[in-house]
Amino acid sequence: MRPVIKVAVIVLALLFLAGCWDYQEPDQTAWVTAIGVDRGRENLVTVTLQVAVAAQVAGGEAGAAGSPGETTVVVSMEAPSIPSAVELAHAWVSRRVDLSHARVVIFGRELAETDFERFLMLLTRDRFFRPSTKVLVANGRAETLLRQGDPVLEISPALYWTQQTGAWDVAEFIPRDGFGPIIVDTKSPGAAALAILAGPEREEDSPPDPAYKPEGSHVGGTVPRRGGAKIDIMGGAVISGGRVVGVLNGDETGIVKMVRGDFRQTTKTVEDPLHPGYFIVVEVVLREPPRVDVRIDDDGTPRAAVRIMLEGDIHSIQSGEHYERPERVPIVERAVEESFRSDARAALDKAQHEFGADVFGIGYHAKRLFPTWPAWEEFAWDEKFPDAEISIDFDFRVRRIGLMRETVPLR
Amino acid sequence: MASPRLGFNEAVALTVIFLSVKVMISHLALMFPLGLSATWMIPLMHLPVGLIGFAVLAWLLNQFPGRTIIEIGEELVGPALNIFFALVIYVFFTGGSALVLRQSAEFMLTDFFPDTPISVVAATYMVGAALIVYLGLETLGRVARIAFPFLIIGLALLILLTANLWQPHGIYPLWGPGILELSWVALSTLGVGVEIFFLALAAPYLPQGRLLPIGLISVLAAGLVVAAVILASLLVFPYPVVQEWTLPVFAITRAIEWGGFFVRMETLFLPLWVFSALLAHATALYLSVATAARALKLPYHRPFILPTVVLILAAAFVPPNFPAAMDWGFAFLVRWSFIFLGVIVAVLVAAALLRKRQQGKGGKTGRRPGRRTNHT
Amino acid sequence: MSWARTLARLLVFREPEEPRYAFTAGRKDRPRERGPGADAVEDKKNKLREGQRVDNLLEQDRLLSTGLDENERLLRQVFRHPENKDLVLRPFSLSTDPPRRALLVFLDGPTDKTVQNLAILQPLMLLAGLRLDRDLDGEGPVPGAGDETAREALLNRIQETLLPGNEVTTAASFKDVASEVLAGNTVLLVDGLDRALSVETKGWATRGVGTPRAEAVIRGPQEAFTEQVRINVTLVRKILRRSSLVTDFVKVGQMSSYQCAVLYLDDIANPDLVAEVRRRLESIKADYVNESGILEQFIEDAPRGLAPQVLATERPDRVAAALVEGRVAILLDGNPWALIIPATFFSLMHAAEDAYVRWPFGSFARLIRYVGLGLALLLPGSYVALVTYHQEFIPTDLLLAFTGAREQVPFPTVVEVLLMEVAFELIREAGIRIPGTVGTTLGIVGALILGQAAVAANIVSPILIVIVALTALGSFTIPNYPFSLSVRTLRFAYIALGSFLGLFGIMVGLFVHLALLARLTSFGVPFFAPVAPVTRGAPDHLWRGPVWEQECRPDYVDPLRRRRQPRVSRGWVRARKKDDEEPGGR
Repeated sequence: MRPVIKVAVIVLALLFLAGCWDYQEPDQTAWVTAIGVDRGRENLVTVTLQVAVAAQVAGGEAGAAGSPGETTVVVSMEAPSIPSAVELAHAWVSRRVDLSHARVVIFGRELAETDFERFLMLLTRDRFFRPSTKVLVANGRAETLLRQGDPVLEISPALYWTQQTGAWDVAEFIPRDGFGPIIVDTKSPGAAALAILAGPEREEDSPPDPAYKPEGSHVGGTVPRRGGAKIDIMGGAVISGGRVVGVLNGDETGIVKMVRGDFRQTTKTVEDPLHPGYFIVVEVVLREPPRVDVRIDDDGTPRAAVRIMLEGDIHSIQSGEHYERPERVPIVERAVEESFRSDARAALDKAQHEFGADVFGIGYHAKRLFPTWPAWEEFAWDEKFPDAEISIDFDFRVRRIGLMRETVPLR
Repeated sequence: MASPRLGFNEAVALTVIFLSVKVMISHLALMFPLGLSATWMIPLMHLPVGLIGFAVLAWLLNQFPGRTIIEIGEELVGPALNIFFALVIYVFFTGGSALVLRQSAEFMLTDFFPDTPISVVAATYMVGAALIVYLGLETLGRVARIAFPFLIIGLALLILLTANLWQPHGIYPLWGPGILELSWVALSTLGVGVEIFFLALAAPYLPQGRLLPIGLISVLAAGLVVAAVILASLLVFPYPVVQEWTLPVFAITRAIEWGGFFVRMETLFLPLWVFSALLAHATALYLSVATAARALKLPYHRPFILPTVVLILAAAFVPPNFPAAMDWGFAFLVRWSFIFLGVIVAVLVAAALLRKRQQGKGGKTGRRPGRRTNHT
Repeated sequence: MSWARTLARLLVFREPEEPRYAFTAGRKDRPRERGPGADAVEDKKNKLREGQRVDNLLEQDRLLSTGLDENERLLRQVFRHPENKDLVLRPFSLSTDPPRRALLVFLDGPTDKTVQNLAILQPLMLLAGLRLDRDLDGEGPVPGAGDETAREALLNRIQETLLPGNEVTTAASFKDVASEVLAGNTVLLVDGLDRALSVETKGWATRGVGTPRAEAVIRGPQEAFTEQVRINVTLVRKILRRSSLVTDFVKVGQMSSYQCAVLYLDDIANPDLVAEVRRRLESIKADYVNESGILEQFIEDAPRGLAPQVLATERPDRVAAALVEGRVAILLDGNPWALIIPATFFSLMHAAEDAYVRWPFGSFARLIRYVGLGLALLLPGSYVALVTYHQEFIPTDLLLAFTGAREQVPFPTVVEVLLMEVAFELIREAGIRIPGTVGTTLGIVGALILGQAAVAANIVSPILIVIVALTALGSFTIPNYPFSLSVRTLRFAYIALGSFLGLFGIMVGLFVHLALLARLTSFGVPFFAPVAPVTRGAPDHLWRGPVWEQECRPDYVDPLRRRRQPRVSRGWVRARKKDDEEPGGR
């Protein structure tokens, strides 16, 4: 036993002398929290890296004493590819650039609409890019987006991105998928992917028009708001055939999420069916997973009936009408369903006729009808999707009415 | 030297780890293009063949209690042919071990230590494996027994942590390439189970009469483990994407995401890879070394450790690159190994049957004791 | 060679003096007959020869002679009397008729003077004539006669009627006499008798039974072994009042033989195990085995193993519990630590209290202890590995905190960790060696200077203090001191592995570590016994099952009786009858 141990010890000792190859001190590393990719100005791509300033983020006593500085540094460079850009960054970033903590990769819309997949693929082989990384499409250039400055509520930029993109479960207009599902959707026959759409805060207000508009009728970069962080996230970019084919606004994104089963909750403001000009506000959550029923006609045309079961609470009834009574609740229910139905029609119309891409993932349900993979491939769902007859139906039930049982009218 | 003893639990733990370590290397990645969305059924289809195959092997071994397949071969087909058989077995396990070593080392490099020389990683693996083989089969079994619950719980945790990413459509179309095609694929990849051959060399050290249950339980457990891992990979990355990864299990480990905190968990599961790989390397090394020692009728296996380790390390660097190592490994271990070892076992079983029939004719009293005196 | 001498002088500044003791045995460069050393050499030779002679006297079991003067002369030689002031030779005369010359031999110190005066001198000098031969009438002529029977009769008479000492034995050889005297007994030599009588007069100072210092508990007995083997055996016997408890004495060591008690339950312990323990103890041919730690190293299966293979304890209740399980205990005189054999990994991780508190809490304590073991062994190494190799695993915010905290620290992480670990080891070692009176300063030095100031001076990052503190806490939870020493040392190996190959290195190291441990045996019992190999027994290794489930003794000890209590050990529990009330009824 002893000679072997001695030999092992000697071998290990020799290895120790040889050095530690991957040894990397964290304080000699520049931690990148977000990557931006744009069509290049002087080379193939413009790569933007958002680097966290650890001393500021760690803060503590040192930070309290001095004035809080910037928590991030943003650098952009022109390079033929993303890894070369990382190497290039060492020309003026004094630390070793490490991408393993990048939470988001943001693609400029111009690049995304032409060469999205080519550059996405540049990243997927590397170990720092993981299925949970979020993919964002910037409404504009990614570089401009990242240069918008530091996050507001969060000290750590990484936490900011995690929190911001993680809000998909409270806001219907933020798509859920990270890079993993996106890659599955873009590469599987029978589906298209939906990436998060982001934009810099709009520079000037739109012309005044104080009429009713649903809050989800915008996309990232045009959200009517003031103050806070400089980046909006709303709506989704539809990726099909390796590029972004179009965008969905917030409400349409909500519908897609419902059909896919990613939807959690939303707040809906609908017009009072009996009192035009007055509004009812309901909180909507998913009651059961959506039911998708796909059949294929003899001539090969797919027919799909999607049924989405929702339930919710009444937040407010402006008109004071007593919809809370059990026999009158259905009036509200029908109004909400109708509102969803019109969003669904818009989304379906866009998907089928504008993009020609099954962003709802109905193809995944159709897949079950085929016994073997070759048969499924042969069916060519993506070609048949635009002509498919698809209906999306909603079933909304009011469950609770908040703290008030009945409104007493004003006198 | 007291002969080592491998208890029931130790034997099962070691065999299951040895059989199912292939989920940790790239063999699976090359299964997906064959089995498509029904790849998870392949290990289940292997199961009946494996169970019956092992029952046959166990019958053969039980005819000659206290001996390994090498000595049985010598008894049945004579030393000349048996040396050839032993050589085939030795080459097979040495080569297979080399290819697996290369893959596990390449995996370490790709995913954790990009700047470390591969020779260092491979050598470190082999130092661990050689040391434990030096310490003996008993120690190997005990370490496997200690590690086994951790490995199983770790793997189960890994699979369960991906539960929120499962996309149920991943297993459709249900029959993948079609039932016939799938059966053919299952048949042509039977080699994934040849590691059960380990028991043919460890048989004398197992508890009396427990060989058959040990083998059957191991085959069953390993089949289920492999099927579960494949199923989880398919559910997280449905078919066309799952074949992209060099290591599907690792891909799903990287995909784990429970809120903002439980992400990037692959390092947490690194012990799973290292421990299973070390145990598998050690078992394969033991197999090669024991084969050599038995074939040359030496009572000790230790003198063969160093040469075999050198041989394995040298052979591990024969493939020029990682894809070649993957392809060769798949062809060698999954496609052809079953034919080589299957033929050897078949010849021995046939010889044993023949002999049995002759003896049955020869004398009515020629029961067990009589036959045993013939042999010794 | 003058230049060499000059150089040497320059290096050591002066020529070394000749050693005063003549270390000349093998030196050839100096003639023996010349110089001032010659006499010393001769002296030494004489001394050696003399020592040899005495040794022969003892080793050849030379018997006592009948002449008192001859015996006295030889005993003086044996004990180097004129120089050795401890030996007392007290001549007196027996008040028999006619009076006989006699001699008491004893050591001043370990003997009890009151006992000597009252139980030996008084009866022999004053009362010997009182019971004149009354009982021995039938045994023929007593006094004077030089023949065998007369001597025998006199010896018997002295032993049976004249010496009221509680334990009187006879000694026939010089060796026996010497060992009796050394054991603190008083030896009586009588002129004309070729045998001596040894009277129990041990009276050396001992420490009282105190509380356990290394194995403290809250619940449970607060008694610990002390330095006297007799007292220690008593402490065990007090708990285990069973006639089958055997105390078997073996002498170990050559220079100074120590009494070593082997305790076992004759009806439970495996006789092979007992025989093996005896065999190993008796075979020891060592100079000086005065401590159970030394004895342990002599009888371990693998002295180079990475863990102790014998369980040392200072608690009589633990010894009693081990004996009941079928184990064997070794108690060494002059030592408050008992050795329990065989020991397994799990028994090293158990504390006495596990069984004394209710079982969920006993199990929880064990769980905490295993966590502590993991922390103590792997935490610093894993910290180095994670921070320098696997940064992607660390949550980003934590990583940024690490990075920010380390900005000002000039050392690499490994150096930082080694620095603090070594500092901690220094504190710990100093804490043991420090004289009690200045003990409080250690806390100030350790906590304030090393903890606070090192961080303030940017020598280490604050996070590292947390790591070191956790490691220290973990290592203190290991209940077995020798085992915690092993863990504490191996921690540095893991730091090295972690800094060299990250977690991969640590894992390979752990694998090798496990393999080396799995190969260990303790008197043939595998180190990881109930788990690998799997053996049957009660639920008492990883977790502590309820007491009423402890039905069997551990199988790996192979006791004579396997079952320790019936399936239903709580006799008061009423067996459930068919028409009992339904659950929730009543």
